[in-house]
Amino acid sequence: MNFVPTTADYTDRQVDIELLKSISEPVAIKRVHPETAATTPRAVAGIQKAVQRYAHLLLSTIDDIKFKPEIGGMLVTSLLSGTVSNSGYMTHLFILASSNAVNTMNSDDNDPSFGAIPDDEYLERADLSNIEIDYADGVVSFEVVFTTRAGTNYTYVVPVPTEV
Amino acid sequence: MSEITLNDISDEQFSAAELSVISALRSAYPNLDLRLGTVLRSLLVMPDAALAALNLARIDRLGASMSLKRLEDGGDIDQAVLSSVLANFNIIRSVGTKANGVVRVKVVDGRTYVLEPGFSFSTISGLTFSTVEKITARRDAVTGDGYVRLFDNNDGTYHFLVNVEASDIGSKYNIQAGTQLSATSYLYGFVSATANAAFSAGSDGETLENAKNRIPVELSHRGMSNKLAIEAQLRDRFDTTETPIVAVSVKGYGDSGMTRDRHNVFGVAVGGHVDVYVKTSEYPHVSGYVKTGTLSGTGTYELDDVESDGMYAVSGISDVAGAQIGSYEFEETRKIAVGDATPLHDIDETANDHVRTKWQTSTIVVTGVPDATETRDFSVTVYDMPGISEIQDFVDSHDVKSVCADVVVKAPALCLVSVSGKAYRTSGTQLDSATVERAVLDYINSRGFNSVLTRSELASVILSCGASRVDMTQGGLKLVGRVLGLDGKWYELSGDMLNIDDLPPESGVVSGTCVFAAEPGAIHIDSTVV
Repeated sequence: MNFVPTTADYTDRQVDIELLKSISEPVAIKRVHPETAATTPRAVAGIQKAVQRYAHLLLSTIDDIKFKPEIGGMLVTSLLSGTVSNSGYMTHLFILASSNAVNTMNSDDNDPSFGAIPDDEYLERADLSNIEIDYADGVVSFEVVFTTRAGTNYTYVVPVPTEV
Repeated sequence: MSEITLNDISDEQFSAAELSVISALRSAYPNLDLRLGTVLRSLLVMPDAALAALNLARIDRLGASMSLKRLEDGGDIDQAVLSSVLANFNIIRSVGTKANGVVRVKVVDGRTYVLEPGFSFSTISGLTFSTVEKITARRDAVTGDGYVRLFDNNDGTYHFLVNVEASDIGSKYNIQAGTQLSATSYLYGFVSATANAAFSAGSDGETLENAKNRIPVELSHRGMSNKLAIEAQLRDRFDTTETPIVAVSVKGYGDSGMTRDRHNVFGVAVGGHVDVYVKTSEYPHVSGYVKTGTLSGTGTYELDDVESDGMYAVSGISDVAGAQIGSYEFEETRKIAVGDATPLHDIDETANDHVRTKWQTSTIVVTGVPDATETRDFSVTVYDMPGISEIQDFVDSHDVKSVCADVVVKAPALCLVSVSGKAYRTSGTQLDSATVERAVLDYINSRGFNSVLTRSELASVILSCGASRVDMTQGGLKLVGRVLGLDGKWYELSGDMLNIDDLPPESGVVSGTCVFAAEPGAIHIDSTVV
């Protein structure tokens, strides 16, 4: 697993509200748990913020967001509805949703009206490196390697439940 | 008006609002990341942008509902909203009026006939007319007994006359004399029904363009002090009555057509005289009367005087008791009605100042009548202008009367226009002659006190109906107008342009005292494939 510990100083960076409490520190493989959103909001910046944006867009479903129907994919819907028959199809769904998420992020990243984005927050690629299925808990874990424009790679795991 | 909801907001409207929210937030908090996918974008920006877009859409609709121009540009105009906006300018739009007229009903028996209110007649094109009151027609009916007289046609059939009203508003119900009607209600012994004279009083609702043109008048102060104020005063009083004002022309001191200002030994114009010409019917208004004639010579009858409000001219005189519909020859003169004192007004009968005022009365002598009897009933139809007397009374009333001017209200002269011609259409396209004729008719009758009517204007109207070409050669589109002068003579205008000011001075008719008018039967446009 290729990841580089970071000691970047995120002072004066643009911030977002932290949604995924578990990714506070990008120094190892971290699990992304949307259900553990903190009750006390905290600011998040840098690569943590970028991964949070990615996870949000990846797990959104196309046509679900009013006025932004183009955002998201069919990954979560398909997993929850049990229509994913094999890992090949699951990989296909993930790549489509991931590609859409990265393109959507880059669209705003390249828009100067939002201000300049540091190279280490700009995700150029998100490659699926592994899929693990936990049949006991009904969770599919997507291991994703992010490559930033700064040339740094980070690996995260995005767990997606297959049942409500 | 339906409520605007989020479902009515387009993605483009939302995006515009979102950009403005982002811009506002970033100008205050530049370190907030508001890109897509951020929590701030999803929880803060997007809901606010949705509500902003909703508010903008509501504001936009409110703005549109307050602007005549935007209502007009919008195409599909909400009439209720339009009326509300016009009310800001003190304008109440005319919604149109129903046509009325007299139907001649032919029956096979001399019995008594009863027509209940709502008894209806229909033209072949589906225009429906019905009686408003209960009609009882009987042979022994006499004037004033409330019954309608049943006349013997001396051919085994009988007829009686019935007043009817159109089922709906609109000028298309102004059918011409002689139009065949069928009885859509049951009537024993019914043979046929025809329009005894041209129907009138039907008008369409006021156009937005016309209403807009009235804004200066409606915003003017009311009074008898100047032309705008006089029109405003009259419209304010009469636009919501049964005789709304269609157009007004005011002739004052020194104006052409004003003769009363020269009633002095020097024959020079002096102030203090105002003639107000008021058009109260968009289309030529026709009233019918049954008048008794007394034999005064061979085939000659002197009729009881006709006093019709704002009477312009006699349209035709026929024999009530006969089957004949065409008009007898007649001579008509106008005089001041006996007993009508006009102390307030400087009116000289020898100068025809009384013509088309409330004080005139018409004396008619009919000639060429066969079968001499001591007395005889005639059906007299006249062009008139309802409401002239009431308007005169209004301007003479204590609170309105000018303290420094003698104001006389007159009906305008009608330049009765006939049009004939040929319109071409390309193969495979539709050009309905009736539609074209209706458009030409509406155009001529809608022009107020304009003094000129040209062939090119009518050609433009015909082309707008879908014609590809109008025959404008010498033998093509023909335009003829007839005007009854104050001297009782008919004058004719024709050619490329009908100009009221081309009438000779002895006619007493100049621009501003005459309006163009046309009846349905006077417009003939043939449609031909090129």
